[in-house]
Order: sequence, then structure tokens, then C-alpha cells
Amino acid sequence: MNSENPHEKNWHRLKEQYLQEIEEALIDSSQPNTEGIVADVRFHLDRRYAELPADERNWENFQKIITQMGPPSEYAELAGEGKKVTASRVSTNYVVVMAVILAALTAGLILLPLLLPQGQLPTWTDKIRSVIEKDPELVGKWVSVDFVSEVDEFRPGERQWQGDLFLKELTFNPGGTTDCGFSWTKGWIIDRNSDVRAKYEMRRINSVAYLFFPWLSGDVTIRGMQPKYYVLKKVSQVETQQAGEQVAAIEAAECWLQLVDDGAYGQSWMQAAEFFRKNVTEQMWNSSLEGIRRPLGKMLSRKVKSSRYSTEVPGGPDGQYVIIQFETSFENKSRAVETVTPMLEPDGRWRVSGYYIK
Amino acid sequence: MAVLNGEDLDRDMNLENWQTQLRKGLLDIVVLNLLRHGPSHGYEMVQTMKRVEGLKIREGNIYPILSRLQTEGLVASYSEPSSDGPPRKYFQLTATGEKVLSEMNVHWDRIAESIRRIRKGI
Repeated sequence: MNSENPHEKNWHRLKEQYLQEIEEALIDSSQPNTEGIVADVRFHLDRRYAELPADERNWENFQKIITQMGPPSEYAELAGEGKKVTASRVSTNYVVVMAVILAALTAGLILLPLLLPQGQLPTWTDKIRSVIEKDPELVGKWVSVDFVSEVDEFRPGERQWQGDLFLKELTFNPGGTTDCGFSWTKGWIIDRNSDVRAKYEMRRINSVAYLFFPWLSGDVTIRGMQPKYYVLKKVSQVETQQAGEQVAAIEAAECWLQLVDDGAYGQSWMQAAEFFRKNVTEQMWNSSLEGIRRPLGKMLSRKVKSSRYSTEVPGGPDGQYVIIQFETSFENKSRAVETVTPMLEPDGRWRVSGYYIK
Repeated sequence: MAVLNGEDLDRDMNLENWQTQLRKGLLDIVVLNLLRHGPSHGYEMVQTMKRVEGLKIREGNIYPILSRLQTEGLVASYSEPSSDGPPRKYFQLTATGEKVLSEMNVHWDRIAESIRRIRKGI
């Protein structure tokens, strides 16, 4: 779910976005087996990723896999064809029978909460799906900040749990699914494998939303012990968006740096941001790199030291920038810091607007 | 390298569109026939289809089709442990599926024969 490997993170992001789009397309066309289809596609994608050799795990190949899977709209179209054919063949008797069943179901749904003991939900997944209640506050990304014995024990900034947090983060999608093995409906988080459901609670502390998620391990469900609670903090939409932008910007910067590493200086100028090309001629750029970069020799290793989203940079127009620092080792300079500043251009692509080596 | 003018491009795009529509229309019978040889999982079916000329599909296409065939009672699924990952979902023909497939194959043979006869001038 959470990985330090940037390629894995990129893949995870791309995969989840694709799965969410499929889910939305299927939900829009009222497919009854949305969850099943999405789970099958997830399995397929995981397998494709696993089969990709480590040195081929890059953005380009990830995009290729997603392209080969086909557009999300096709899933609804193909899943729905049978339904349309069937509908055109239905008899009057069938319509009457369906009307009776629908009426019975509707009555059942209305009565269900009254018939069930308090706090208990039906145990079969389809029924759960049919009673999914929205909770807009829950939708989005949450990160774990603590693991406490009691909800009231939690104090922001004073972590109680000293060990590693097993559950790092959790994203709740609008259709009742999450980015891992849980589904949800208002008030409940459901383990899709065991069908165990946990009643969550949300609290605002100092204007920040926290989610208290009882962790129903075997100690609780089998041995009857009291659950502990994961405390998760909502990542704001702005933070989520900015984090996503940073990943895309880093990817763009790395591709661009590859050109510089390869000595393709002309191409690196061509692929830079318009602002950059307007202010630095290709000739100036070539001679700068010949004088500064080429003597450093071959790039041996490079890793992201820091990245920061900003709407302004010194000497540049207002816009969307990500200021990235790489710790780089060159053949003739073992420790260098490269600062690359991609900016978001009107076509939605990140292109480098500044590059410094120290 | 072949250079296409606008007219060639339009013609080729229409042909491509027709091929796509035809392929989509035939996916049910293709998938059911694949399962006729025994249970299989989605990934395996995609790999088989990719190897067959003219049947190349978008990989994700198989899953909504399998789901629909399952809803229609022509296909059933079950999970089996896998040595290299989580349990794998296998699909197999139901008795109804086998019966419907036989009828579909007969119908397909008739259509193929009709087209062949028309091409030959009947």
C-alpha cells in the first residue's frame, strides 16, 4: 500500500486512478457486479506489474499497460451489452414479476434497519452494496498517525503507539471501495475477505478531521478482546493534488535529466518549458552545459533529496512549480546537488524551467 | 514507408472501426469457446487470444464480458490457491453455457457458410 520506491508509487497511483475510472463508468451504467469486475482488473494489473522486469518499471511502460487494458468506458459498454439485449427480449410476465420483486426489495430495504438489532448489518456482500450510504466526509485519502487503545486517548502531536504503524494510509473511493481490501458504507468499514465490519468514528480536533478505525484483528473477532483504534488524519484535497503533481513533476524532471546525462543538450533545450526557451537560447544552453555539466562526467547515481510545490519562483512568472533537489554522484564529482524546477504548462505537462548544479 | 493520403486514411479508419466492432461482437462466442476446453482464468484467456491472429483484444475487455456471461448463467467462477500470488479466479462453462454455445457455434457456422456462398456468387 505504501512504498518508498518511486516507480512503485507511480504505478500504484496510475493503477488506482484507472480502477477508479472503471468503477465510476460501471457505477454510472448501474452494473451490479462493479466490485467483482474491478477486483478482477486489479488482479490482472498486479500480475502485469509483477511480470515487468525491474529495469523496465518506468512511466512509459506503466502507461503502455494501462493503454493495453482499454478505456474505462469500454468496460461499461461490454458489461452492459447483455443487459440491453435481455431487456429487449423481456416479456410482460417478466416485467410483472420484476415489479413484484422490486416492491418486495424496496419494502425490505425500508424495514431492514428496523428489523435488525442495533449496530448489525446484513452479512452478504450484495445486500451491503445495495444499502451503501454515502459519507462525503470519509471519501479521500487518510494517513495513519497513531494506534490507540481508546478513542479519547488520542492527542494530536503526542503519539501513543511507539512501534511501526502497519496500516500506513487508506483512500476511500466514492463508490464504496478503498485502495486496499476494504469496502465501506456510512458508519462502517468492511473487510472484503472476512466480511468483518468495523464501526468507524470521525472527530474534528483543532479543525482537523481524524478517523478512528477499530482494528478488528483475530484477537478481537476470535478471542473477544477489545479493539485498538487506528487514528487516521485526512489529507486535504489540496495536499493530495499537490502530492500527485509532485510525482508527475519528478517523473518529468527525471526524463529530462536523462537527456542531459546522455549529452543530448539540444533535445533537453527543445523539451524544456517555453519560459526557459524564451530566456535562454539553445546556443547559450549548449555552451553552459558544455562548460559546467560535461566536465562532471557520467552520472553514477541520483536520488530525490526534496521536492516542494510552489506557485512562484525567483525571476519566473506566477504558475505551478515543483522545486526538486536531487543528490547526485557524478564520475568526477561524488557529491552534487542538482536543483530542477519543472513548471506546469498550459497543455497540462510538466516541463523543466530551471536547472542548477551545486 | 507507405504514405497515406486523406482518402486512404478515412478508408483505413473505417475498416479499423468495422474490425473493432466485429471483434467486440464476437467476443462472447470466442470467450465461451475458450472455456469449452476447460476452466481458465481471465489473464490466461487474454494471453491465448493475443496469440490468435485477428482476435487481439484490449486486455481489460475480458472481465466485463466474463461478468456478464456469469450474470446470464452461461459461466460460473470459483477461486483456487495460486503458487505465485493471491487465489486465482477460474471460470468454467455451466451446463446452460455449453448448450447455448453449441447453438451459437451452429449459428456461426451458418453465417460463415452464407458469407462464403455470397462471396462465390451463390
